Amino acid sequence: MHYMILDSAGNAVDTFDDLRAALDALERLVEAEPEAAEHVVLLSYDAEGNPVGEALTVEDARNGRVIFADSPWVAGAATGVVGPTTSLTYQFGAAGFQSRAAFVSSGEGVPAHG
Amino acid sequence: MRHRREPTELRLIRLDEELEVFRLTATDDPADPVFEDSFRSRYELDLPPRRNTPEEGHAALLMGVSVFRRVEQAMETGLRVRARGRNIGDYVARLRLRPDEGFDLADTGSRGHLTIWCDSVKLAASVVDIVPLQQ
Repeated sequence: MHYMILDSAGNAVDTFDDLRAALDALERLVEAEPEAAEHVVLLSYDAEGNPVGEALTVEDARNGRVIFADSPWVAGAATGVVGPTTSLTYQFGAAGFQSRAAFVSSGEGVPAHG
Repeated sequence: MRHRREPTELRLIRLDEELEVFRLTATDDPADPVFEDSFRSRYELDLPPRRNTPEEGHAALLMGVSVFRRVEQAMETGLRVRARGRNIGDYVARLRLRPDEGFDLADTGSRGHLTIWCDSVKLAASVVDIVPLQQ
């Protein structure tokens, strides 16, 4: 799985093999340039380069919408496998969980972030 | 340990034959100045490197623009960003790149994502089709 930070011009700004590092970078970018918050997103791509899951914003990174399986917050959360080694969870009732349900019902399988 | 994919080994792709690539754009109207802007790099737009990103250390990244090898990659990227209330382009342009016209490309980022370096006028002139984002 690859993670690209994209800007509103449609250009890749940064690329990662690790979601946590990508989210950290997204936060650091916006920390340095707060005005960029509305112009940058993080998107996941599978091994074939197909986008998967939802685009993530810096708000997602900051408000804990993406919760890692090794987080103490996993209790009462829905878990989805992102890749061979990465597992993420969304809290019940959060927008991410609703999104996951939507993906599953659309037959696309489990998305990257839910 | 960081897992950033450092652009320290950019390898240019030799263009021996025509290559079609796909780019998200803000408009489908070639007469609109925004159309050509859609093919300008941050460098060409006179914008500084984004802080805390590899653009600070690699001018080449500041001077390139992103394209995808497959239309589905560009389309899905735009749609998934739009679904979160953000916009990185409303259209997908199909560019036909011909050899010996000064295009430099390198595989960067995820599979099928390329960075391309070229004059924005020439890039805009390489558009052979453009369609709105749609499922």
